[in-house]
Amino acid sequence: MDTMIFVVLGAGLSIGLGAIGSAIGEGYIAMNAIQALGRQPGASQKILRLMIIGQAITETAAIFALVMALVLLFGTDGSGTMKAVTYLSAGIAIGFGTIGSGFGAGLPGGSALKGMGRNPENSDVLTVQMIIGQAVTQTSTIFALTVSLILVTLTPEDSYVKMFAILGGAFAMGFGAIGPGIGDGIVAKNANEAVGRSPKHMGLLTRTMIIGQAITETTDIYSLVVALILIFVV
Amino acid sequence: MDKIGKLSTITFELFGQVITLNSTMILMTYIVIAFLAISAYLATRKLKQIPSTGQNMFEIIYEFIEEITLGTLGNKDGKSFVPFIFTIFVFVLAANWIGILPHITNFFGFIIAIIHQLFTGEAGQWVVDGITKTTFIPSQNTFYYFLFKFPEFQEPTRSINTDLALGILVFIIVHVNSIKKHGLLEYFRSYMGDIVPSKGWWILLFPINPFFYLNVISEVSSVVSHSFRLFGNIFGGFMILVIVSSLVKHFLIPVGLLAFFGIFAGIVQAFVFTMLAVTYIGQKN
Amino acid sequence: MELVTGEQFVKALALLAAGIAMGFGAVGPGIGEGFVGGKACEAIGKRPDEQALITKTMIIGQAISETTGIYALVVALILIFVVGG
Repeated sequence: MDTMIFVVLGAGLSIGLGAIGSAIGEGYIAMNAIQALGRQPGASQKILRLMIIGQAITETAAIFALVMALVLLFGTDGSGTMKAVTYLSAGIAIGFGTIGSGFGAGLPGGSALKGMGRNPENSDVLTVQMIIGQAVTQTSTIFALTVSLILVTLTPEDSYVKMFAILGGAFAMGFGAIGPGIGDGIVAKNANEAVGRSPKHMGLLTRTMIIGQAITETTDIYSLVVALILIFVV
Repeated sequence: MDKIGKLSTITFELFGQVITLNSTMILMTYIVIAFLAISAYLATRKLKQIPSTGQNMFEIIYEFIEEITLGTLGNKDGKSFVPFIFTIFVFVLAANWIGILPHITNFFGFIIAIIHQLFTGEAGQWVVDGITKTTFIPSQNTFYYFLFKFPEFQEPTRSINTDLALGILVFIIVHVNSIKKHGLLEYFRSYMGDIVPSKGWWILLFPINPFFYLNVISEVSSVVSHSFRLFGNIFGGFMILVIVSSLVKHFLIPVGLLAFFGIFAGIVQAFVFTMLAVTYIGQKN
Repeated sequence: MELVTGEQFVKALALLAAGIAMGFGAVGPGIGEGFVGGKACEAIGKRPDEQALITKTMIIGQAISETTGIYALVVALILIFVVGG
């Protein structure tokens, strides 16, 4: 079997799937920006700035997928069936793993722009709150990226069981990151909406949001643990 | 990329078991402890009504921790937990932030070696590899060679051992506190759920009560998620930093990533770890 | 690679199944806990005085939403260590 086939397949899965979430998220932000502009045409500068910052952070997930695709295409030199499986698995883990937080990071961006449409005076508070929410939402992508970087650098023993264990680890991390990514986004979305309504409670809301997001990520951590067990222990 | 997977370990035998210690992480943990002890001593040596900078910093953190602890546990119960929670927060924060320090002994070593080289020419040799890449390899015979042997600063929380130790510490505090407060029988009963009766001698039926096992599993998995949350974030940030840095040849982008993963993720994860510790104590209190 | 025996085949598929179980099992609780956390933030925005009560309710609600995630974890660990071990 030619290893290169699996490298290319892994890179394709990585960026192909990884672009889905961020694209939807950014579209959602742009949609809310246009609605906010319709309400507050006078604040177009501030709305545009917030939109661009929000979209740039939402892009992170897709950029991680791109980095992984580039690492697979240009940074790999292993050969053999086992290495081929690890490359394919790395692509699966990061590809599926970025869907959730790409889409999730779009949600707080959208609701921050909704808040801008209500009252553009709150621009600074909303920007800070949005950035924190989106940054914490990236956690599931970071876990997926970690697992797929481990997979790329790993040289596993040559066995049939290990091959399926590695594939299983990639599926666990990849699919496991989807739900918590979206869930984190929902928490941040509602927190941003609340900040838009009552900006003076921002400190309290940021704290609650971070705790809510941290607990939402628990299943993501279980996926990480199962993936690490499948990769290293089995 | 060659930094990944390199560990300096101490191995010894104890009661027939081979024990491997990660020496870098132990050194880093003691550096964090020493830093915290010294700065806390200096900040609290002369307490004043109008605080100095150091005292002010500690007061800000302390008031913040006091607020969230008393807010969750109540004024009466929370008081005795504030020092513990404060220690956890400060330790995890310092441990997460130590990784952003530069490799300072290596830096001074190179400065001394290059000055030495300019005057005597015996401090090492220049290796020219291609047009742009020139490296200086110091000689092992010089008296300051020990400077190159120090490891670079690494977050102790990057190792799962530190995180699991902290998680288990919180777990013990939570359950010992709960047993002390409610008594062993009442504590045991809290695992039983409501469907199967658990009053009086019914409690002896716990082996057939499915809720007992589920509650025990969820308690144990809370330790796993508590410590792996910290580990995954810090370790993941480190991996991304190393790989992206080597891809862009350490040009510009790593600074931004360091700001995000080092400073921002460090403080967010320290807060999350502390807040969850408070929450676990509050749930069982 | 040597010939694959039936036992190895079962072990290999059990490990793959463990990965898929944990992966899909994490999707639902993740989204569900997100709804709980989001609504809690909304409620705190409306009534910040009740924050202690709301945070407590949020954590309990999320812990219960997470139960199916823990089932997935248990099933995955059984598949890894009992069937595949």
